[in-house]
Amino acid sequence: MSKIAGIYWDDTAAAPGISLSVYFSGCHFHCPGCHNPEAQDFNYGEDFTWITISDVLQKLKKNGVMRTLSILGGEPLCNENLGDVLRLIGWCKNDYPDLKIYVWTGYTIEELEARDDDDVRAVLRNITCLIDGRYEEDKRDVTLPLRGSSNQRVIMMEDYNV
Amino acid sequence: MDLMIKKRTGQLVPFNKEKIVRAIEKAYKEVYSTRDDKPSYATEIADAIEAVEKEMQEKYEDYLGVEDIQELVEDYLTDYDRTVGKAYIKYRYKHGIMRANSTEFIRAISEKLRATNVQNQNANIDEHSFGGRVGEASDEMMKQYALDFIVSPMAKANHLNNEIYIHDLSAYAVGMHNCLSIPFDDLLANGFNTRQTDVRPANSINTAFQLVAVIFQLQSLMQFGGVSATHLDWTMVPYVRKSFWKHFKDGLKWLDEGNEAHYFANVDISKMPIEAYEHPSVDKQTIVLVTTAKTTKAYNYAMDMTQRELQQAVEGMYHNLNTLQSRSGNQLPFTSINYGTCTLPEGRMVTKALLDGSIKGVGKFHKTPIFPCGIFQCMKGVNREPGDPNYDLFRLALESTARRIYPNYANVDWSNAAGYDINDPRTYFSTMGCRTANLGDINAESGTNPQMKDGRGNICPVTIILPTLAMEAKEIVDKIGTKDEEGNELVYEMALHIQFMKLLDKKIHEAKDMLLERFEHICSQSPESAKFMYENHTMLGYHPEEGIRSALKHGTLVIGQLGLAETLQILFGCDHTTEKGMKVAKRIEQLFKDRCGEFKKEYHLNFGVYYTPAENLCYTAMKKFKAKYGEIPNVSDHEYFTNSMHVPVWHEISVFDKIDIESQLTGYSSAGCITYVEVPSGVKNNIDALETIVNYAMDKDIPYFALNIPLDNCNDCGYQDEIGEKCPQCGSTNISRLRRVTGYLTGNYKTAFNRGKQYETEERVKHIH
Repeated sequence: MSKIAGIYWDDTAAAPGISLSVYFSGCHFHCPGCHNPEAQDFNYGEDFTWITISDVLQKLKKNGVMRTLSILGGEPLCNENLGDVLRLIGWCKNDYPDLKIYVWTGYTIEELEARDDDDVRAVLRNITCLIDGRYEEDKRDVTLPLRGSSNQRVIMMEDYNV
Repeated sequence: MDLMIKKRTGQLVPFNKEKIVRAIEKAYKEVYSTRDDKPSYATEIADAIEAVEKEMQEKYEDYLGVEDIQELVEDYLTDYDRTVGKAYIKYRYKHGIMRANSTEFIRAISEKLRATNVQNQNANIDEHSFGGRVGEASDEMMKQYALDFIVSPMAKANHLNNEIYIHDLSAYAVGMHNCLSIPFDDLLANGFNTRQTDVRPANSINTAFQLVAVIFQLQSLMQFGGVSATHLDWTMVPYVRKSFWKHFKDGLKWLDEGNEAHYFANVDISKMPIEAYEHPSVDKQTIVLVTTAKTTKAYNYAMDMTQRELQQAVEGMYHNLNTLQSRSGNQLPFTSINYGTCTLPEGRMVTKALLDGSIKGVGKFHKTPIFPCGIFQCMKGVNREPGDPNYDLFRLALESTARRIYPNYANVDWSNAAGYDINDPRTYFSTMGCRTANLGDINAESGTNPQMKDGRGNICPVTIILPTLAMEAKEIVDKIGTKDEEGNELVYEMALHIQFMKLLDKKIHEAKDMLLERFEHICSQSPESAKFMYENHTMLGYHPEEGIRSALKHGTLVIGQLGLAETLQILFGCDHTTEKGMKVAKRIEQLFKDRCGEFKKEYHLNFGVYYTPAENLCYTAMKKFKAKYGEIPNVSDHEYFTNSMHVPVWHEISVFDKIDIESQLTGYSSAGCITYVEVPSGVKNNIDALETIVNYAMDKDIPYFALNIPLDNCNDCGYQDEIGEKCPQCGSTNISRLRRVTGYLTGNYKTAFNRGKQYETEERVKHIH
């Protein structure tokens, strides 16, 4: 079972517009200068449960404002978290088919595809945007939208054939 | 019946015969210092005065004042013993002087004069400067004078008892009014007079913007509050045109494309749009000309020159309004500009230039301009959604807000602002920066839309300090018990609620009387007192033969309020973020609204419900409250009262929930309110989020909306962001921290805010991550 480092129900610091941002705990990359080092620990935070999913579903459109679902970490797409991330995406898409989903991962999209995993493909097919690649301290650039370092990429999935 | 007398403060205290006896004995001792007997007539005189007092109370239901009693003693004494009488008079005189010497008054004046206790009551005034010290010291005198000689005992008692606050008391005696939306269209088109000269109409965009600053300054000297432009983009259209056609003529002349005199012989260029070929009212010859002209060098030259002139003109205005300390040398005029609805190319150019100027900032380090307060007027079909003609300007406005806190957002579609004339932007909803707004004018002359904003303003405000009334209601219930008028036993909460509403109703009526009293005093001033205003008709509807009342009657008389949240805590132990609290909050606001509506009809004056800024009052009222009632949890355990009907700043709540709550109450206000939310500075990278938030507020019918985004400024290198202790760029700790105070911004809140507002600012919590 995954752990959740934290959730911002209303977030302006993730995807464009208002996000509901879920931070999954645990990451193998340990990039120097990591933005959320405490979330590298797989045991950090609260359990990800059905209650988490139901809270997210309830609050995605609270006050009538359709939020974007932002999934961050830690590393959401490592094998330990992949199943729960997919479960979360599945339920959200089921309730809100037009939901926009942004995912931040330390893997490159090429690395993800090379895993040749149905779950990974399912994630990639259902999300709007992937921000990929490790954080590289020497390429740090805070002026870039959505990213921390210039090697990272913002990939709009509608332009991408999975 | 207990005999009572009135103290100098207006407070009633029991009549004490013994005091009279002792005073006479003292005077007797003064004269006959060697004798050790007592005057036999002392008790006789005291008895006689008691009889007078009794008669007064029984027959006339009035009370003798301390001074009245002393007069009587003088009269009687002089009859009994002339020498002792004289001694008494001398004693009384000396005592009077002593009292004056020892009062707050002299102390307060010398404090202000020497700037030994700077409180920053108004963040815009430099209380250390010469001008500030003169101004503040004389304010002290003017306040005392007003309380002692002008206002009624009822008003004075309310003011001193922390029940109903008289705002800007220092401007009361002299009879100034509060604020005004200036009819710039007329003043720029017709020119205006000043004491020394007259000013010709503006003939270019550069001059027009310069005159805006000059007019703001002149008008602000006629009053104690703010000045605004209600639709500056529309106002400037003719002057953009004038500049354009001037440059176009020059272009034709120097770029050798023909003889300009021929083309423009019969055309009034101020009425000719830049894109004249689209304009049906222009004669045929010109249409042909301009259509061709668009492709010429002259056209490109003229467009370029106009844009540059406009940009410089706007920058000039921003600098002027942040540098001209024109109010007694220590204060910038409180200026606000509304814009954003004009879809003509010229108006769009103006809005764009205003926003570019705001984003660019002023001075060496491009600091955020404190004035004017920019207000972007949101309007459906004009600038709210993608595809609207001014949507791009709305996005630009959001970008400016993210980086400069300004502009704020006015909601032209607000339900209370209905009835405006779509063809007359002077009637679109606009506000003063602080929040004061003009809605339907009950004295609108025929042919004038009641929603006309230009030439109108607030005449005077008072504020009911709700928590004081709640405590008083509690005291009453604790004393008389919880039975209602028919003798039925009520639960405590219900009895308290009923008692509070009764008291509030009484105080709302007294507030109305206080406003009428001040209104009459203001109306009794000569038009000579504010020559610029009356000579140039900056105030709407002035007819010299009818006196200045003819103009003042279009303004608003407003009943404000402070501390709804704390009041509900006293009454029910919860505030209006709960369902129960909100239910009562609505009842309270409904009473304000109903009464103001009735007063408006009865007196034919624009009474309105006002959600007071209370910049200084939030602190001073709390100080007085604490002195009287001590520290009560959730009520007086902060250093300030919560603004009007706002959710307390320290309450953890989401942006959308805060808007949901406050939007349920903004509809009761007819004279101004503001809703703000705290947003992190990182939002400058997420304009989409800001757009969602602003549009959400507009859709919830919030009339005036503002975003508080922390803006810190390194004074050494100019770096701007939310800065921790040290500047991340140069390591300096010399940081100015810019925050909103009431609707306006100020400089560094750490030095410019009063203590209460400093605490308030530090306790603000973010409403979104």
